[in-house]
Amino acid sequence: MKKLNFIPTLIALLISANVFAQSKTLENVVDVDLQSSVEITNNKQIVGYAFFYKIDKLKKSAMFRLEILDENLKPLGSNEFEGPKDLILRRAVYESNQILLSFYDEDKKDGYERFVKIFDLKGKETGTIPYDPEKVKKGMFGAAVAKSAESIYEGTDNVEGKGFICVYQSKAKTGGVDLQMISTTGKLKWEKNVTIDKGDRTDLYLLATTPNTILLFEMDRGSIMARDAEIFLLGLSTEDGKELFKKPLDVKGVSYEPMLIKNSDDGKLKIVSTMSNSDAKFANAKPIGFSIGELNDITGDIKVIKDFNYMNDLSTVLDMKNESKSEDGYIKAHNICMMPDGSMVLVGEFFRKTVSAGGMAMKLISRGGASAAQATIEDMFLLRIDNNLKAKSLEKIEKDKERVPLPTDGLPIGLMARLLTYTHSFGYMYTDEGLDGQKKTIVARGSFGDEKYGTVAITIDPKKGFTQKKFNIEKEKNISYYISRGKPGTVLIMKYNSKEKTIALNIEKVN
Amino acid sequence: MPLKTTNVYTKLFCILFFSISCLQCYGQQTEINFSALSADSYADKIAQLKKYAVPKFYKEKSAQAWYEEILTDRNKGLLTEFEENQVVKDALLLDKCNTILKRIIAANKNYNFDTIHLYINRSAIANAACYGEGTVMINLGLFLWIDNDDELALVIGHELSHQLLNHLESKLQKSITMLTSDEFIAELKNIKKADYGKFDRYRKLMKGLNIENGKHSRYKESEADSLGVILIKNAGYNTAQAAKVLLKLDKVDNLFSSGKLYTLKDFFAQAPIEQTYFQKKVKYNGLSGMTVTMNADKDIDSIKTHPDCIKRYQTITGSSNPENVNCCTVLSNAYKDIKENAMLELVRYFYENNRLGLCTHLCFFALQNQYDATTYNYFLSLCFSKLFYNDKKLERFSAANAYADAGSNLKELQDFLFNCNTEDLEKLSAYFLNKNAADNSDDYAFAKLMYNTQINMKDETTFYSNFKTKYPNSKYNYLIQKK
Repeated sequence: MKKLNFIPTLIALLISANVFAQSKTLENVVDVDLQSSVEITNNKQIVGYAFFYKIDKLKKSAMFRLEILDENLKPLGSNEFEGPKDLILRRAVYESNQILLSFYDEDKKDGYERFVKIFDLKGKETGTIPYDPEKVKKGMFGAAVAKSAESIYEGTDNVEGKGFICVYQSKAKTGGVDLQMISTTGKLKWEKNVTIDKGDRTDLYLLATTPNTILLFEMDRGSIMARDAEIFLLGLSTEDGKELFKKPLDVKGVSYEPMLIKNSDDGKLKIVSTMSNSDAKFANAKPIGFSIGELNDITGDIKVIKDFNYMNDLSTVLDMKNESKSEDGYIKAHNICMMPDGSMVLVGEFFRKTVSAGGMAMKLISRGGASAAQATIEDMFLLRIDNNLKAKSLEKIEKDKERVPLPTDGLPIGLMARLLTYTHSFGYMYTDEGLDGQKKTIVARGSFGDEKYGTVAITIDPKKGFTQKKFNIEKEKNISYYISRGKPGTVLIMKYNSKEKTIALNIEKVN
Repeated sequence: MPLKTTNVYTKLFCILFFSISCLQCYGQQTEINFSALSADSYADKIAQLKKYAVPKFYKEKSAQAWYEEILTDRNKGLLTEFEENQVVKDALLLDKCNTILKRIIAANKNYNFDTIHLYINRSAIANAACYGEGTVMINLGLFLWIDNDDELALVIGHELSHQLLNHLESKLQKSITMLTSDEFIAELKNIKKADYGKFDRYRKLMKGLNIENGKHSRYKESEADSLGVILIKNAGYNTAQAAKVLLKLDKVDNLFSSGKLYTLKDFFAQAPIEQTYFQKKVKYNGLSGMTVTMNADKDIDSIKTHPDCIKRYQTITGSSNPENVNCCTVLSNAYKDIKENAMLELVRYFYENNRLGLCTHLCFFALQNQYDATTYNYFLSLCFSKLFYNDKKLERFSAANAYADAGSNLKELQDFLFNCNTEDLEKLSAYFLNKNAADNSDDYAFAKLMYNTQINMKDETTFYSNFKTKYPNSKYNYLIQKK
């Protein structure tokens, strides 16, 4: 997101020149700065955008303007309110004619605090729900850990027809999360802290929501440094936050770590998980396959449709060296696409642990202090599974190798895969389900079949094969680009002209 | 002999009949004609604007500085309009306007019309404006809804009145008086120095100025309406008939916001593309389908510059019950030649400026209203080939985006243009091109040229040079030059 930094000032410049300034002489009387811009989501799809500006400095606070744009970038409306000086808009979610905006205030003296504001589409603020920052003071160990982990463990989502759920990383030493359920009328419906029953540390993150249930993945550990964990699927009632179920995900010697939960065309809730041996420590464990199941969101029961073991079930299409490693390297499963005809396509990437020549030289210079290990990320692949749940074919999508230095030589493969995922080092960016769910497109970064590094959209052909659309934009002087997710079926292209100080937003089809 | 004579006459008759038939055939093959654009046709006006020097008006330095700044900006804006071809010299529209102007001048000898010049602006917004110093512009978009001379006369009379009553100058002077007042300067200085609350104070200050301007403007508009009515009444125009244009002004946005202009899928029913685009998709609902009115500017009405159109109608006609005017979802047959010219020029303008969503929309609207199918099929072919070309450059969205309102035909079309497969864009370009039989006109040749170069990516230089050799004086050559 670093590339976005230049955009705020520019949009601010444009706005101040076009909207507020009355003439040249009156320009530069006031400054308008864009604090943040975020996507507005609903059911994990982009339905619009929110731009958040600081328009006025006040003695102890500031005045902010919020601009709402639709998914086609048409301005829909704006609102203004007073807030803490360093307020940033983090996330925006839409549900039942309400927009929830999640704010973050990092004040260096008083610790950091958050709150959400809810607006109806007529611009009326229907509620402000604070998240109590007094739960922990800044500087405490728990808070430091929480801060570094919050991008992984925090989330905001809509609950269809019911409102919104906000998940905050708890600053308590034992970890856990604080949840707030907010109704469509902008009122706090319930709040709840989820922490550990036994042991020293628990971490949770939001997987999905259904109208009935908030679904979280829970990892309980003996200590914050422990690599082994007991894992659970936790379901909380959307009505009152009460625990509906807590199902262990270590079953018959296999650990199932949920990758995604989504509604399929048959109306059933599907859960896709990465499998590893439960004998191995959870954080270190190497993936050995993936599992597809049907989830009952009231009871938490998972009816396994099929466990795909790389070694046993995919050996017809994949040459495996051992249970977790193929001839092409270790496998990172990113997503599984449910195709309209009932078949499925697993999207993955191969990766290896290799030694870097530069790292080796540094290791010698530093007398073993530096790490020589690196991750080498290789081709992407589409693994097709037919209606009878048989692996049918594996299509490799060639791309240039990418090398990522690793912090230590001894990093286990499981942990390495997580690290690469959290640091967005894989080429895979996201899956676009399209407007009607008929066409699935994988959006990825890398050098696919040519020398240029860029963004590419790979659309899966329902029968076999795939098409590629490249967003390798010709380099122009003074112009830089940033490509991110757009409304379904599109990517958002931001084009910044540093000479003219202009920014152009454009949406382009992925297929 | 008589027989022979008969034979000669018969032959002559046959030749004559054949010739007339041929002429009629030729006549059916409409050739598209464009009007001259301002950069070439208004060289004198451009030279005059370039030479413009702000007159000395105020003794006081800061007031003169404001005066110079505002007038220089205004002049610069006008110059850009003319240099960048935002003005069109359409003989038919201009003649119509100038005929009305002459009639008004002739009937109102006590006013000085010496500096007045009328121009046609290429904007699609149904409006007209007086830019000061005698420059009056009437937008192409307005001509689509004018049904008679009376209505056009009221529009012209109104804008002339602004000039005759010196409204722009007096508004300018009033603003300068306020901007140079001690209180304004002191408050501006205080704002600049202030550490906190700058924006709020600045906004309050400017809002004061805007509200003053708004009130001033609304009063001046009523004044212009009154004099406008006198001017056209003196010239013998029917004011009651003319005032209907005000009722239409309340509805002119229908062209972009109505959902009753045409049925989009009908235009593609025979096209060799997927028909699934027009089936309802329920899986995704973006905010574009919602009416969001998050508006912080509560005093928006105070800044409104024009009085309500119905009130203006009532004042002019003295009627308390304005009749229901059916506008603006269908083009009436009245003033058709004027409307046809305006429509063609608007379509050409949007095509030229790569605003393909709007261009396509107007083509469909023209076809729906039985305007020349040959012309608009060519333009549709051109739009789809250009959209294809934009798609390859990753600029399809900007070209197709019309920032359309939910529920409008324009929105449905815009969504279609966003979602249409690239291959279907190609098919549509070919489909609309082939709807017209191949002929020797440069219209067909240009549409075909664009199909070949923008879709088939054939060697542009050779194709362009061949086109120019065959049609050295083609009206499309400037577009090739532009590329």
